[in-house]
Amino acid sequence: MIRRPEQDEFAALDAHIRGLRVDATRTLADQINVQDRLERVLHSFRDPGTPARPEDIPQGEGNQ
Amino acid sequence: VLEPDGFAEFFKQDYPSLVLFVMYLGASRADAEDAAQQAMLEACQKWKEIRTPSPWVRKVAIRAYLKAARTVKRTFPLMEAQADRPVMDPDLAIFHEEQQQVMTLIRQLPEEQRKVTALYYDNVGTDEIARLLGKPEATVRSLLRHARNRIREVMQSNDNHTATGR
Repeated sequence: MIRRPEQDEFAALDAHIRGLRVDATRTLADQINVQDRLERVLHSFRDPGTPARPEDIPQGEGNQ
Repeated sequence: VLEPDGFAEFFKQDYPSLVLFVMYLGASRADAEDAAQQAMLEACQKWKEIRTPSPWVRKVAIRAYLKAARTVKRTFPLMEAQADRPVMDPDLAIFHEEQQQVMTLIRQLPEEQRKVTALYYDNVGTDEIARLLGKPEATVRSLLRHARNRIREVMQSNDNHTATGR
């Protein structure tokens, strides 16, 4: 593979920022409820037009 | 209706990184989570047609975030970030100081440089960025060069200030 001049010029910066980003992703992943977000997406996928978020569904509706 | 094969695994693996990507564009964490969720829903709906889901959801997330940001801007003008007046977002407090510094620098770039830089540091190649954004690859490389020169300049300046105790 041919390396472009800017790849060498910015190699150290790129490696540093990518390393920071990997760490930041791990930090954020610990703070996010991924399963809850997945369930919201699957809820909207299965029932288009219904509220995307379980908390948007009026209370009592689920018992009908 | 069952979800498409492989979608849930992709979601679990890519969602935090996608949220961070939208935060790099300038979104609050809540807005980033919403834009990422919208992009993932569209990916779920079109899963069988998508060959490279990770870049695909980033393109949709950019659109979802910018649309929401512009809608808000019409009602409540957002303060534009300026290089000499950093806007520290409390959502960044979970990250350590250098991560905050880099994110803030990227968020202060002009919009096109910001998009290209956020994609690039999310491991999307310049050829793929060009395809996603509908720009010549030379333009993408040029935007990236300007952005990285700016980031490096500020980081070196901050290092010098730290070294001299100023």
